[in-house]
Amino acid sequence: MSALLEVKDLHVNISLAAGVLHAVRGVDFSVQRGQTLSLVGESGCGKSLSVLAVMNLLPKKATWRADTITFNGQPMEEISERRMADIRGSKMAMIFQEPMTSLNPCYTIGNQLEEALLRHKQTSRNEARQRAIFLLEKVGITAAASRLKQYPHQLSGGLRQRVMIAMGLMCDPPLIIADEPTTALDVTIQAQILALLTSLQKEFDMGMILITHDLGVVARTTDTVAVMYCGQVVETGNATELFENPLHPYTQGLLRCIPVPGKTKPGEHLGSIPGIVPTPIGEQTGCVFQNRCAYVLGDCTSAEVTLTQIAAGRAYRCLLSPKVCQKNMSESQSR
Amino acid sequence: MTTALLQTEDITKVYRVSAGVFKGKLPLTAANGVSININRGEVVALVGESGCGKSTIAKIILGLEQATSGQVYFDGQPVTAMGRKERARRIQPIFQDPYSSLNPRKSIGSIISLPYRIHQIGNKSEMEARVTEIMDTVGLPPRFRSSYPNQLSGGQRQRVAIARALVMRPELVICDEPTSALDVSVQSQILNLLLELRENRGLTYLIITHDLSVVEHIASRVAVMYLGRIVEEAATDKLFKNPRHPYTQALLTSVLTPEPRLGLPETHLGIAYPNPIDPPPGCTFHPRCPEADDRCKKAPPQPIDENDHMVACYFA
Repeated sequence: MSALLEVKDLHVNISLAAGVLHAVRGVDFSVQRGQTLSLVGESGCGKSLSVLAVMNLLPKKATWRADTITFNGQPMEEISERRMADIRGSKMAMIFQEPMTSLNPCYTIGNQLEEALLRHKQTSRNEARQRAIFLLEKVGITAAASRLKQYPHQLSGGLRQRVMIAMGLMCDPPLIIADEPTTALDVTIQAQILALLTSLQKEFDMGMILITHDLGVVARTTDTVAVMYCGQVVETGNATELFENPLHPYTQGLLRCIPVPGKTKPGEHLGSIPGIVPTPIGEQTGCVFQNRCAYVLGDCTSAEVTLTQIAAGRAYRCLLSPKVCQKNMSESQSR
Repeated sequence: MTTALLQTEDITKVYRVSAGVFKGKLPLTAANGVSININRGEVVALVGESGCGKSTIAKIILGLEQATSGQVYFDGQPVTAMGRKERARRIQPIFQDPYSSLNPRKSIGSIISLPYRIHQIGNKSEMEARVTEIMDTVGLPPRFRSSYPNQLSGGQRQRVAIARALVMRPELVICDEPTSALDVSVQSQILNLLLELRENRGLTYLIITHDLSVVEHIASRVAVMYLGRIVEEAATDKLFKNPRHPYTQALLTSVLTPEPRLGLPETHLGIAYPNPIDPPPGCTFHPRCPEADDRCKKAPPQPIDENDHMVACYFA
C-alpha cells in the first residue's frame, strides 16, 4: 500500500541576523490512511515547521527543500500555490492548538464552519449547514443548530476545540494534522477530545499527524512515533515498542523526566536531562545531542550520526549499539 | 495542637462581572467557603480545572485580592493585622509563566535584589552577597547577573523567579502552576529544585496545579477544588489510593501516563463545565456526575471528615 503522505529528507532553513538557523534537518516520515503518526519533541525541535512545510504555510523568512514530498501519489513540487489552496482544507486539514486565537471572533461558528465546504465543494448553503450540524453533533456538541449562530467568545475552551475539530473534518479530508490539539484544555476534557479524535479518524479512515510535546498523549493514542530533537528525528518506531524499549538517550531521558503515579517514588529526584537545547545556527558536526548526553563518546563530536534501522519501521540515531542502549536504560531505572 | 502556618477560614470571593452592555453586573462566586490548613514543612497541592477558583485563593492569600468574607490566618495571627511588607516578606509567589512575570527591562541581578531593596534590610554588600548566594542555590551561573530575561531560556527564567521569591527567606511559597509553561526535560529540573529547596530551607509550599502526576510526586496533601468549593482533601497517598469523590476519580483516570498499552481512559463525565455565573443547584458537580440522583440536585452535600480524609459527596 502506498503512503498517503511521504516526506523524504526535508530541510527547513530560517535566515536570521545571526546566521542561518537549520530548524529541520533531513526529516523523513510517512503516513498511511487510517493511521496516526506522532511527531513528539520539546519546543523548537522543528515538529511544527515540518508539517507547515508540507502544507506550504511556512513563514516568509523560512525556506524548505526536500528530496520528495508526495501526497496521494502526487509530487508536491508540481503543485502550484493556487492548486495548494484547493488542497489545504479539502485534502489535508489542520487543527490548530489554540482555539481562542485560531477562530475568528467576528464571525459566527456556523459561518466559519460552512466557509470551508463552500470554498472547496459545489454545495448549497443549506447542504453546508446540514453538514456543519452533523459534524457538531459528531464531536459531541448538543443543540448544534443553535450553536451555529453563536460567536466563539460564547463557547468554552473545550467547546471551541471541538468546533476546530469539526471544522477540520468539514470536507472529509484524507489527511488531518493536529498541532497540539489538547494542550490548552483541562485534563478531564483532554482525554475526551483525544478519544473523539481517534474514533473519528477510524470512522472516516483518515491519516492523522499528531504534533505534541506530551509523551502521555502520544503513548495513549498513536500507532507510530517519531521523536524529534533539534530538527532531526532521533528515534522512530511503533508506539508500544518505542515506549517500552526506548533506545536513544534523549528518548530515555525524556521518559525518566516524567513522574508516573505508582511508578516513580514521591519526593525522590526525577531524572533530568542536564543543559538546554542548543540553537542550531550554522553548520554542526557530530551528534545533535552530544552536549546533553550522559553516554557521550569521542566519536559523537566528529562522526556523522545517521538513523540506523534495526527492524521494519524502527530506527534510532545513536552510535551506541541497541544492546548498550537497553542496558543503559535498565541501569538508570534500577538506580 | 500546633497552630498551622497558614489557615484560611471560610474564604468566599464574589466578583461582579458584566453580563452585557446594557445589563447590570452579575455576581460570580469564585471561591465559596474555602478552608485550608497548611502546616509548617508541608507541601499542599490545590488541584482543579481552569475556572475552579484555585488561583483566586492564591491571590487572596498573597493579599493581591480581598476576600468578600472569611479570614486568612498566618502563624496564628490574622493577615489583616500584618503590614503589607511583613506579609510580603513571609509569603512569596512563583508564577506560572516566566516569560511574563519578569520585567524585560531589568537585569537578572536587579530583579532578584528588588525585594531586598524594597524591604531596606542590610547594606549593599550584604545584598550582593545574598544575591550571589541565592543564584548559586537555584543553579544560576553568576555570569547571568547582568543578563536580561530575554537572553535566558524558559527554565532559567523560572529559576530567576524562584530566586526572587526566596531571596527574602520567606516561610510560605505559593507556586501557581510552576512547571506548566516549561518543556518536559526542564520541568523535572525545576521540580527537583523545588524539592531540594524544601529540604534544605524548611520551606512550606502551596502548589496550585492541574497536573496530577506532578502533585503525586511533590505534594504531601492534596485538596481538590471544583467550582469554588473544596470537594475532597486528604494526604496524597490516601487520595491516590482511595479517591472518594467522583470528580477526583475522574481526574485520576484522566492522567495520561506514557504507558501505551493502557489506551485512552473513559471518564464518564459530561463535557459541559458549568457556567460559574449560574452554577447548578445542589451539588455543583451533579450535571457531570455519573452517580448523581435526586438529592444531589436539591442541596449541596456537607463535607464529611473521617480519618483526616475530607470529602463532600453523598455517595462517599
